[in-house]
Amino acid sequence: MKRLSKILGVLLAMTIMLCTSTAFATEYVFDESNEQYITANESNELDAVAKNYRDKYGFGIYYYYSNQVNGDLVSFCEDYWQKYCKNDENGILLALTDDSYYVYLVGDANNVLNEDAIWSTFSDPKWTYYYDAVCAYIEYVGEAMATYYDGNTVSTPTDEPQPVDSTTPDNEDEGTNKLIYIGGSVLLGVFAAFIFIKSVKSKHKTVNKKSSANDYVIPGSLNITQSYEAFLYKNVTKTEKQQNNNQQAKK
Amino acid sequence: MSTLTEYKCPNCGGAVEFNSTTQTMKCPFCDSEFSVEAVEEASKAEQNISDNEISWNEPNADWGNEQDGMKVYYCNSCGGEIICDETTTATKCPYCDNQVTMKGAFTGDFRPDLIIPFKLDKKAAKDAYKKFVSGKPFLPKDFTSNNHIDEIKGVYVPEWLFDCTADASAMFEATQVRRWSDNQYNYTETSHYNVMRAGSLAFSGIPVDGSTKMDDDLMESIEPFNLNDAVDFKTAYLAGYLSDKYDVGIEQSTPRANERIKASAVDAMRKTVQGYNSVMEKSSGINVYNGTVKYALYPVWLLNTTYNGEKKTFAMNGQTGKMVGDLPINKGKLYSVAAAIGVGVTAVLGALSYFLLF
Repeated sequence: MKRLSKILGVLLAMTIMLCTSTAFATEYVFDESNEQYITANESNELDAVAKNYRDKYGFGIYYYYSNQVNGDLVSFCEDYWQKYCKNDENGILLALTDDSYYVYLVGDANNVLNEDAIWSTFSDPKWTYYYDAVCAYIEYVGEAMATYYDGNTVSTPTDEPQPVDSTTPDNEDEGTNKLIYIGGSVLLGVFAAFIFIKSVKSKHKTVNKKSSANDYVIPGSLNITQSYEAFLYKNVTKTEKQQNNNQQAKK
Repeated sequence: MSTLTEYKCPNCGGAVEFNSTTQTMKCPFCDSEFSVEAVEEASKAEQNISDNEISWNEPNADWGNEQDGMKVYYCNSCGGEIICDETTTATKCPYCDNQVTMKGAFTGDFRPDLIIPFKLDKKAAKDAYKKFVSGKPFLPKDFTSNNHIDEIKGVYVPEWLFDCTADASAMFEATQVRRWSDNQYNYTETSHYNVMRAGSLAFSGIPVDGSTKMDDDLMESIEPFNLNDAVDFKTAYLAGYLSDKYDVGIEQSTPRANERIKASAVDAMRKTVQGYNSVMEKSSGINVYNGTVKYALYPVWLLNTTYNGEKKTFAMNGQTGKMVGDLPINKGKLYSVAAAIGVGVTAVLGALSYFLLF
């Protein structure tokens, strides 16, 4: 039972890690500040808007806030983009700490967006709450990129932030994801049951042929008389990294 | 001349048995204890007298010809007829329950060099069996509740012990893997090597079952036995136990010993190949020399039980107490619990996925 518990524990841990890493990777608005300026519900709503743009144009709009980051903010943005936004060849990351900010532009964003305009939009004194400011930032960027990609605006910017339509995410994608995770859960369940059966059966069968005579080796009797190691050949395989060729960073 | 030996108590004349706890010969009737040597001396003196008194008790050698592989003996105590196969060397009289040893079964080539006397008694075997079947929730209920051990017997099993030195050489294919990245690509470099090792390794006392009656896998499963406890063979150690002489010769046993020696030698060579990500054996060979073979008797408690008309045998190492045996499984219960686990894991993971992702 101990062995089984260990296996189940590992399975559970792997699934949680998989789920959390996937969840983190698809998060567009992430507030890691101690104050939690943006609540979880607000974050979900803003994520839905950002996801809408990304699904439609393949353009990621990201927001990140932390009280402080390790190292300089530029390097942090580069790392963050690699780790959590790596599927996007075009996008923007607005990263903030308590005393600095950085606008990180990738791909087409460099041709369309202006970091000063973005900061002005975000830091407009009329926004009382961070939620309003982030909402304005996402919509400003989204509208600009929509205009760039198809000449149409996605939404009309107003002085006040528009109510967020959280029903806009692509339902088909979500349905597919659900099916994948349900299927994965079922497979892991079957695997756990299989491991359990094997474990019980092995405990009940203790008569086994010995494969070696290791118990009867005279200690210290091993004497290696010849030894050589010859290099034969080597293979090098390379796989392309998913990354953005045109990324540039501006502040 | 009698062909049976009974070790009788010099004090009361009852049949003495080897006591695994005190490692002496003990009389179950008057509780007297004697050294193995003292009982043997007394037995020799007794037999000299007995030979003259009961010479009419000679086994009928011709009778055995009608039953291939069987032998008939007559009990020195009660005169009862003991029929057993020709490999039996120690047994009990079915009439008076006296322990008897077949004289002559241990002469010449049949005399064992060593014996490991029993260290654990019948009670220890029963306790070990109870412990062995406890804490196993998937044993069928009728196996645990109605389980009666049909028979418990202490048996000295004939074993061939192989001592040797093995020269071994082995060729391995090994790989080293190096990974690195640049701005565009992830690289994996796999370097392949031929690795050769040759050397020698000494073995002492590799046992191979010398009895066809005993299941080879069962004997190997209760290994290892500690040869440090082995003593020179004396028939007195057999008193109170069953025993067979070998019916599988050295030549027939050698291939099994070689098989185990080769596996261990190659494994030892393999362990010296270090610093690689993978090592696979390509070829290997061994040359065994300085080989000697000893004949020994190993102590085993055999517990027989019957379940659903099928005989099940459990074995316990009479020296170390290691118990083995294949237990039945309540398949309905096993599959039900497995299904419940499968459904539970699916539900928990599904719920986690839902709450974390959607």
